[in-house]
Amino acid sequence: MEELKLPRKTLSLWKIRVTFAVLVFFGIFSYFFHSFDWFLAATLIIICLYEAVILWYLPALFKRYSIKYINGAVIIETGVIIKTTHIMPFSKMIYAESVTSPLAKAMGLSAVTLKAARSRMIIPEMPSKDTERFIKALAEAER
Amino acid sequence: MKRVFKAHPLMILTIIKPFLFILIIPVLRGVVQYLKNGEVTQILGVEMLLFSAIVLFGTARWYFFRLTCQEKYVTVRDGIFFIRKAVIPISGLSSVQSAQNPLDYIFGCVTFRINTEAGSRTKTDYSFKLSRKDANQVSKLLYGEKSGEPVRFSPVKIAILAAATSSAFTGLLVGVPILNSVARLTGRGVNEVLDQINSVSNTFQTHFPPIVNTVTFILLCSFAVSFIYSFLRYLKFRIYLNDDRVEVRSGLLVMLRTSFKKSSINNVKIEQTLLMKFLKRYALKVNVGGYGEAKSESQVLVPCGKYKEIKEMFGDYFPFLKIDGKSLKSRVGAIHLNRYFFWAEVFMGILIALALILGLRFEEFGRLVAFVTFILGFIILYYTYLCYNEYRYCQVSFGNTVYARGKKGLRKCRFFCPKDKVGEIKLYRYPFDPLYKTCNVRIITRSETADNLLVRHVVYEDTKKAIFDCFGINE
Repeated sequence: MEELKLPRKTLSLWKIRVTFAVLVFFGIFSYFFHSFDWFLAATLIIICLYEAVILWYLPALFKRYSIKYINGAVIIETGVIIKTTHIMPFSKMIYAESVTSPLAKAMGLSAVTLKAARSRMIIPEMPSKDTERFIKALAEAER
Repeated sequence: MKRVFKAHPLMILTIIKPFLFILIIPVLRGVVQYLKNGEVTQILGVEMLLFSAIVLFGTARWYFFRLTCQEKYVTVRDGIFFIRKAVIPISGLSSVQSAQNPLDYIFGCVTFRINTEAGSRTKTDYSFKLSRKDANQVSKLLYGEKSGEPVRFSPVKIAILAAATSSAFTGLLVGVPILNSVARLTGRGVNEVLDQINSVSNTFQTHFPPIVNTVTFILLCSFAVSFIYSFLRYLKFRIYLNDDRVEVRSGLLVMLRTSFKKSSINNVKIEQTLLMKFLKRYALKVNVGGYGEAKSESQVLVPCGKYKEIKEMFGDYFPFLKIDGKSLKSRVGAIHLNRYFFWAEVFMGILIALALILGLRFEEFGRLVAFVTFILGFIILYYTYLCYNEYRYCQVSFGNTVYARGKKGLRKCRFFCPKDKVGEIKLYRYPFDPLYKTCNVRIITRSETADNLLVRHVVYEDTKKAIFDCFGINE
């Protein structure tokens, strides 16, 4: 059994994405808000939530992520509040797909989607070299 | 051996097509304005900039698209900023389709589609343009050398299939947008066209009121459109049967070539519509897992043939056409026959009651009511005939092949499914079923569309036992 570890860069990528999403949300939000008091209250709530996600949720999620590659299946354990185990036998997998965004590419990362009939499993960003190796191994695995 | 293929430049047009019609008219107007006045307005300038950006995006996406074929798998790379790279084992492909419309023909390319069972139900997994030469090479790499001798069908048989699968509704779906476009191009409103139809239909002197003539005229025209559409679609229909794959080619204006693995076939159906009933012919259809953009996952293999001929032609090729389980039939007797007629009696009762109420309430529309009642009455009578046929011949059997015979809508249907491709078997028992010790069995294929057939009023205990024996279930 082989266990794949997500690199620290993945956590940084998640944090950048969340920060970017919050900034976009904040921009739209501030455009529509006219009362300063309510704006201040909402901003405080958003900042608190943002801190919670950045300082607690994402590191916990990152720590919890476990990707096991055993003979005949891929097992992913994830979740902080609701814990999930997703098992995908190779016999059920149809194909694998790597997905790269510009930011992930700049950091040398790419995600993998394993596709089965009516189901899919997403493996978060890993170093591009590992992704290639992983996909190749999956494609050549005996079914 | 590794072969890399680039997409055909016509793919740029496919990519920008959704935006083309929004932008092309203002841009053309801007060009005309520039030629006439030597300047363009600010808005048109922005539109032209946007248009250039979209064309640039389409060109870049085409340029970076790659299809790589290797011994065991194919890799599809698509996207510029968000790059998708799929590695698909050849064993995981459910079907490969190439379509060539007149525009593709002029530019020497085909629309190539790769389908797997993991894709969306209504959308093909990967669709792109390849040059004709590349498409042939890809087909060869994926599915080996060219197939042997094809099985062909005469145009008459194709016409029968087209007539049997055509409907006025399909004709309306195909015809109305064309009619609308023609009306717009010729500067006539749709109302004007409808008025003309009305005046033409009024020239026919019949017992029925003018509205009936108009509706009949529209329905007949729609059916004709649907028939021509189906006929052109199935024309030059031929199949190639190889050891491990099936290839179907058809079409005159849009040439379709579809290959799928024999192992991707979930079930086979032999169907007979009303028209085919008169001609004593059947059609053979296969249900292929993850089959392209077709919502039904269904592919016609024999458009029209005698039942015996079909069985002889495909008996060896599809071993599961041989039924090996014990046959379970409907219970015999007047009570059971009446149970098959239940819904037909209900429909007929409602129709007669409605016809009487409407005929008496709106006397001036009496002839129209009589006409509609006559048409609906005929459909119900045909349904009654199918119910009687179902009572006499319906059966289900469970062996290496799960076989069911019954009706599906207004068609007679025989359903053959290999045991390992059965997804679910449902037994329904309605209030009267425990009394007669019967049940209704629905056999459902393990596929996205869950193709199925219902067999009614078979003996419950025997059916349950046969299912348990077949699948090795212990109670």
